[in-house]
Amino acid sequence: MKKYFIFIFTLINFSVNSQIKSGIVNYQVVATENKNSELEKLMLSINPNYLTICKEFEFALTFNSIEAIFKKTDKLYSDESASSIGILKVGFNGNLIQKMDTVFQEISLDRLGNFIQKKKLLKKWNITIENKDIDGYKCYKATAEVIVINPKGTFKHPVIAWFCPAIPFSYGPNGFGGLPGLILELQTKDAVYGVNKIKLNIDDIKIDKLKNYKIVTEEQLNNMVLDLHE
Amino acid sequence: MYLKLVLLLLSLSLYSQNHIITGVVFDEINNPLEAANIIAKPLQDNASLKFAIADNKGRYKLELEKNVKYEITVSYIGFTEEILILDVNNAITSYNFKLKSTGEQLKEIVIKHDFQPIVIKKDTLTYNVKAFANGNERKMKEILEKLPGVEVDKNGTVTVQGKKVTKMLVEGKLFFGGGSKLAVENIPADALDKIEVIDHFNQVGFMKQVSDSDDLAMNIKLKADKKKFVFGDIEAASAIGNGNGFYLGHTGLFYYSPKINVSFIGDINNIGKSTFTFQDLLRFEGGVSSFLNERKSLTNLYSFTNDNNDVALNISQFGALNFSVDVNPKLEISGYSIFSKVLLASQIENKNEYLQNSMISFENKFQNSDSRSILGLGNVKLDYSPNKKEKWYYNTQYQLSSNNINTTINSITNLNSSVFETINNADNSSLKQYIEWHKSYNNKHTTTFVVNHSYDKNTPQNLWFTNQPFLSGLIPLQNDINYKIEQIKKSQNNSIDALFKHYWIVNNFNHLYTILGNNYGMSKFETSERQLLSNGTVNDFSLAGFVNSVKYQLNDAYVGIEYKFKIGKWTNKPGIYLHNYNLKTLQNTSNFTVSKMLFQPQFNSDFEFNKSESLNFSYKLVNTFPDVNQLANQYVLQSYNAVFKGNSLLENEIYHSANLRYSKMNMYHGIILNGIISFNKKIKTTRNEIQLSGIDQFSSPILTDNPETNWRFNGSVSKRIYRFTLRLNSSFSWFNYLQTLNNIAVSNNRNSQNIGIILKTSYKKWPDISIGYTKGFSQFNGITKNKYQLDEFNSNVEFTLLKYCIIKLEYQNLKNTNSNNQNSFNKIANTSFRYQKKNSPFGYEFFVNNLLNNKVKNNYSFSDYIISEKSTYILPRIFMFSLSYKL
Repeated sequence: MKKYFIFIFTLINFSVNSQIKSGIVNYQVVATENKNSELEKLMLSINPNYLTICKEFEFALTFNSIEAIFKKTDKLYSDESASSIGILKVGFNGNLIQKMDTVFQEISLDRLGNFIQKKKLLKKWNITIENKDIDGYKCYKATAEVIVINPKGTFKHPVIAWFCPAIPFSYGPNGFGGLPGLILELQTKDAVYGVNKIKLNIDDIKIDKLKNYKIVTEEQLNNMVLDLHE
Repeated sequence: MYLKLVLLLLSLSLYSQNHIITGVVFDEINNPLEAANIIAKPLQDNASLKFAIADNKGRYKLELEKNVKYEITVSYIGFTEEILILDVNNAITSYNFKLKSTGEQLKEIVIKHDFQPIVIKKDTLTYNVKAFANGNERKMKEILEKLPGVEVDKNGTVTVQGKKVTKMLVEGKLFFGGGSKLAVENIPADALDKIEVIDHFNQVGFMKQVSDSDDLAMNIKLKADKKKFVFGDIEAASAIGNGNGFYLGHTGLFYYSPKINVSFIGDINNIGKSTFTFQDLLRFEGGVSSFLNERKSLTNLYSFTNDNNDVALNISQFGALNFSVDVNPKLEISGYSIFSKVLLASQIENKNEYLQNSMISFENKFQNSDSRSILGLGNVKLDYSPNKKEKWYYNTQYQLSSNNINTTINSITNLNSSVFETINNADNSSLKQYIEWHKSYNNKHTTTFVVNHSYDKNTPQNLWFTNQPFLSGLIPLQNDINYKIEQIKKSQNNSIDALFKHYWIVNNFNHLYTILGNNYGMSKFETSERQLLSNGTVNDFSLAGFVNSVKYQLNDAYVGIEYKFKIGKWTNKPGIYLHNYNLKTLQNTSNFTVSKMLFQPQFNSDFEFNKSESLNFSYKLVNTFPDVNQLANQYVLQSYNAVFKGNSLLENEIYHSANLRYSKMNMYHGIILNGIISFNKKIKTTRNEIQLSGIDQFSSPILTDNPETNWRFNGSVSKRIYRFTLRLNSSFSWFNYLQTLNNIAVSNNRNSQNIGIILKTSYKKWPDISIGYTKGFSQFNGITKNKYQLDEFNSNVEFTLLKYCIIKLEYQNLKNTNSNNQNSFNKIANTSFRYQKKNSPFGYEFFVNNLLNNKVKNNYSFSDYIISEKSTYILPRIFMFSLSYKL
């Protein structure tokens, strides 16, 4: 009887060992410099360090099989005012939770206050056969268009994701995911997010909650911004 | 029935095209691998990648295209991947994958990869101009209005499908730093080839923190033979009615070519109008390095942006040229030069009441002055970025100026009446340059190195003529019919400042900055006075101690360390600097040296409640050393009634400076709140001691331990109410100091309080109207007590009539009340009426300055020993008509 127990125990133990239940992935970001942009010239005149400061940003994606939270790591910057412009440049607007097909994001607007914006996860990926190696991990390229609908019109921005099928979680940086594998690299029009550390666990972990702000849809938020500019 | 048949056929056809494989993904001991990804990569062209994800029991269902060869891979971190090659004719419908463990323990994986950002092509919309233009268009604006979905409003704002164009590029480059207005109203229509609209839009809201607009670019491609052109506008205005000879001429001209941009601004006017706008200033000065903020700016072009009507005559001529050249993508050279000539005549009346005097109780002073000043300046800036981790800036500026001022002062006291004539001639030249180098070594270490050099030379010469002896007992005058005094001053300053700063990012919450620097300043200062007698002889004042010749050196070598750390929402930055000051002066063959090693602590603390609410505290201890003219220990004649003598024994002033700032913004409720309290306390104070006799004063600085305390508070609240914004402003200050006057030290308090309220419309569709009222109080308490009150009413209106007319009206009413309840009023009103028809090169404007035809502006001021009421003569009412033409 005792032997059986040990056998079952080791069996369970082994099976637990093989399955990954959660993980923490760290991302860094590199901003795309666009010398012809007037906005960037303006930002440079406000603070010439705002592009170089971006390399100081650190992000952590903590996930289990149900949900993932993408957070900017709290830290000091060599130039705080540059960092506040730099973070806008790389397109990070607040911590995000991806749960099933929905993305929740903390949004703080000077002019309006704090909200949780609820959005559908971008699913319309075009997965290509193009692949590359990121430090030994085979990644496939997927492209999609981010569609922003707001009072000013409809805008489409291309994004490129490099996902790794061997890491079986469909999450990624800055609210992107839904691919058969973790996104190790994400190119947007303003920046590239890249993985620099991966820690996988066989235990399940609890995912932090976002702040308890009012939940609004993207459309509702846009309407509020529009009202403000009336 | 039909439907069923169709469905059946459909499913059949679907079935026939797909090849479905199902199966399970296991590990070695048959445990299912949940969430494993099965990737089917086609091994031929024109087929797409397929994938499946295993469920909680490891089951998968892969839908493949028929007649395609696939490489099916199952990979799972910690296991070796399994590959199945599926040939075209392989018809298996089930396959199980069994993955072998690599046996490696899960551990932290560090990914070393150089992530390179790539520029992703934006959505571009291209218009071919030929297809829309009929050839009769003059300017780009008229072409744009013909393009579908494009609109241009009266302010030159361009919208494409409702989106505002925020950057205007010509041949992919920024167009004169300006917005779209300059481009659309000036680029000749026949130069256009293609117009591209590039969507480089940033999600609404977020970018608004740095920019008031979203980013949508319009890029103008020029015809190959039209890549160089000149544009601009010319304006001429003349007084109408009783021709007083008032005029205005203004031109802004621009030359564009893909590599070189040149702009020219020329202005002549005699109505006191500024020759340079704030936008011009921005275009000329360009971006500023953050390290320059603490240093004195190279020139003050701001003075050219202010109107000056408070004169009897103002004839100004101004020319400014600026250029920028892109030598190559790494090097940009920009520069500007300015020439200005201003003739001013002013007329001022002062009624002075002397408080500490038994003999003279009042002085009525009439002052007329004519000045002629000429300024020439040239500036060149280089911006060099050899690679991504390095940046260089170099800037050099040379400036020459000449100022001639003739002043006639008529002073009437209860005892005496005298006339003084003064001629001041001053030639100044200066050279200023700086170099800056920034380099980043890796993520943890960055350095900055800055060297700043400046040299200036001033040689003012003054001549005083008078019919009465003056400053008796203070200057050694010899009796004459008329008195003529000549003064020559020479000052030369040379300074070299260097700073090296190292940033060390220890970890996420601790940074250490090390600063090493040296400021070296050297000055030569000479003054001399003499009386030129009518019999041709010279009475040199040097025998009576009226000669200065000082050599001055101040070196400040310092080392500092700043430690920045963050605890939650709280950021602190204590710092300590060690300065080694060496002050050396050589005068009258005697040396004076001060060597001091001084610690200067500082502390900054920030608490950020959230993004829109923060509290900030800063403190520092400051030592300031005296200037050369404060140390020159012989007499200097300052004006017709003042003599100054420096003090060679002065050392450093020491003071504490602290401030606390709070700000909160909540735009949802439309509230903005700001408050700042500043505190300054001098513990070593340099202040002039004054000897007053009649209207004559003699002053000399002295360093004491007498404390001087200054508190200031500024606060404002603004709230949006319906379509209005209401704003309350307040400022309070308390200043306490000890003043020695005629050998009696008196504690003085100088306080002021101001409260203001402003109501503005804040709705686009309404005219801009703003109404404000400010009430101010000020008190002086020393041996005497004085109080003043100020009432200020302001209003501005701007609205558009009949689409093409813009009407502006501004009115200001100022009331000063002194302690005897006497009032003085200043009422100022200006108005303008502008008409410019759309697409017409001509614009017409009618404007009236000083509508109420005031002759003078009055105000009160007071100090420790004098109460003064000043009346300044201003330019009369002017009716002007102006015509402008766009090139």
